[in-house]
Amino acid sequence: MCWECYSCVKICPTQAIEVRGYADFMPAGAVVQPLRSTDAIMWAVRFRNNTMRRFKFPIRTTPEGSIEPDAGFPTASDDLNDPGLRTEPDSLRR
Amino acid sequence: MNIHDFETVVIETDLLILGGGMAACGAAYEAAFWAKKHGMRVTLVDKAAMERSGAVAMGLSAINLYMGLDKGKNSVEDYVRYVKNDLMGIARDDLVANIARHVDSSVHLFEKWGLPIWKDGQGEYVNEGRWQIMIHGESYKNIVSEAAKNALRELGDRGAYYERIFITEPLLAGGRCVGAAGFSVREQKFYIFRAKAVLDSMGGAVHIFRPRSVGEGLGRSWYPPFNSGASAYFTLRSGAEMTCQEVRFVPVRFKDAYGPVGAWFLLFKSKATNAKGEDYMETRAGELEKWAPYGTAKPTPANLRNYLMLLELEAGNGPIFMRTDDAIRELVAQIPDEKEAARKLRELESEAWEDFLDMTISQALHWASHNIMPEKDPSEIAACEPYFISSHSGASGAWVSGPEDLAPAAHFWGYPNMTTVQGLFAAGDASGASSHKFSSGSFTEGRIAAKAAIAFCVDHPGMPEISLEQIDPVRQRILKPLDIFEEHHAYTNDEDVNPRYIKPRMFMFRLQKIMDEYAGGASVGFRTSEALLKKGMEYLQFMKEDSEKLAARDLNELMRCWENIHRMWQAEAHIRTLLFREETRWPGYYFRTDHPAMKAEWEAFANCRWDPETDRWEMIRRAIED
Repeated sequence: MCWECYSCVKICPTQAIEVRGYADFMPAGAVVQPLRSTDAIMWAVRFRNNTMRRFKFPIRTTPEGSIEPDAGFPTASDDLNDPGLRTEPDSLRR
Repeated sequence: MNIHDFETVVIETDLLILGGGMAACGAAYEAAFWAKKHGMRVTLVDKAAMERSGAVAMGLSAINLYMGLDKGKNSVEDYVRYVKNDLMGIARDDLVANIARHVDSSVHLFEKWGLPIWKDGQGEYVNEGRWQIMIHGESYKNIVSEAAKNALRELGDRGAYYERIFITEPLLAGGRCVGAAGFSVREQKFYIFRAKAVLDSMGGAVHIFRPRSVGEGLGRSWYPPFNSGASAYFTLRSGAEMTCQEVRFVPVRFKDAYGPVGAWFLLFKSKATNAKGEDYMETRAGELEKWAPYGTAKPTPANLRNYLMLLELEAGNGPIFMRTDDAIRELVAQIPDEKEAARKLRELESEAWEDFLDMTISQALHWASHNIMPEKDPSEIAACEPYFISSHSGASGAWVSGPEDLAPAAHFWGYPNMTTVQGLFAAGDASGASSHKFSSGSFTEGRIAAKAAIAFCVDHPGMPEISLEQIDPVRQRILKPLDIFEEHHAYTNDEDVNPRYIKPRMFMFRLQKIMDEYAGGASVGFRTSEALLKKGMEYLQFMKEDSEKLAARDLNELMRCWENIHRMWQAEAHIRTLLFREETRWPGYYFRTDHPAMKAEWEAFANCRWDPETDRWEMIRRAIED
């Protein structure tokens, strides 16, 4: 069973994986191929009738590995039984 | 594979988080902070790899729960009212409100961590609907898991995560949950995790009902096939009270590849029609009055929108189409300038494709393989098979404590999100009666539960004892399918056809057939009755007996065996609760033909509990408290 989540396709360092649609309900011939970088993903969509569409979408605004969990928000509460969560209340405001 | 070759690995921690999806990542993020202050250890165990595990593995194109409380856009009460109406009156106000009051904080963190959120000209989030905001969410899960891992790292050697270990069984002592057992899906290792508190967040359940596609497309379920009921099994087997086990979710999605419809309905203002082009939400509006007050409130509950569509199909008016072509034409027609209109068309086309490419790539492939261009051709939509997913529009999960400041007395027992079993917490799809959490709410509920669980650890500092005598039978039971295979596989030439055992794949198909035909699956139009359910229950009991004969040739099949035992337990809780609630309340999710209307006496929660001591089920009706 494959969910077609494409995680393996996106992560493959040599772009060696191509997916074809499920043969039990998709006509043959179309390909949807991603090329994922650290901040964007490009998609090449080839239709069964060979029409091509290309799209590029941003995926991340910060460098990989750079996440600082608190993101600069202090935590007001020191009480485990208080409803306030980590980074609150400051993080409740944008 | 000889089970005597398995090494037993024992890991000791304070808070054990089960799962690696949005709720589990929220839990790890929050727990790390409070654990650091109180000298506690936090350990997370995931069946897959956190970077892409859980239902957000593929990405998402929207965050479906953002309140905008700081801008005064909505109030917590507004959201509670909306959720409760969508669930036909069956929801816990305290749990829904608790998530709603914190969720914006999580979304603001996601943005700071690097999630690109759509902005308008003023830099404000772009709303898809009242509660939904649009994102470029291909890497949503990567970003969130990185934050969770970095948070665990702040704990030094007190924080850890284990990947590719499948948790299969709770460990109990003195009426308390004191850990979990499982095995590596890569190495011959049996794992025991001992803990002061355990947080169950292992997702919902898929493939309990027979899917619409049963060939290769079997895996193209709407919710991921790897969500196999581990959460419900864990809380059930711990003896925790469960709620809303009858409240399955039947999503209406683009037919076959199950692409999302939210952006089309809400952002692009598209309509769905029958084959004659009639908008059944208008032509069948009168039907909604039968389901008042919920049916006549706006927005129309998801299950009733489904129901009107099912009535169309029953009347022979299918197929049902999402009129993407009309929607785009109307949006472009609003722009008088020709050049500007052409630019808008390109923009809409890109947005339409991104919606699928971000979260359901198969649907893009489906369009391409059928030569469908959304601006030119409508697409078929259909009701999927039923799913168990309390984070979306279902509600099945454990019955958990609310927060002290919001919960009525009957809904508070010491720690927010603790189940009725001491030391066992639940969040995301694992907790029930708090629907419409979605990705952001699940992450938030994980945070709420984790803070409470650390408080529990601080209040209960002693490490509970687990004896070797207790562990041995658990190990034997978990690894038994490997033993059965070793003992019997030589009896036949084809290892999959053997009268002495059953392989997990056929076991799953048997479960799906029972559930589909007797418990109101897709092939029978989601209709069932007492007579059908009782017959289904009879067949399920044979399955329970045969589950002792499940056989696994390797670790992968051992995982499949346990996934399907988990599914079977979720199925039993479902059938028992469908029988218990003698009415029809969510006609677009399931229809009791012998009780075809809503009843005032069932304006209540239908709960259940399996007793680990006596092996008996108890059904419990609980009042709705506002």
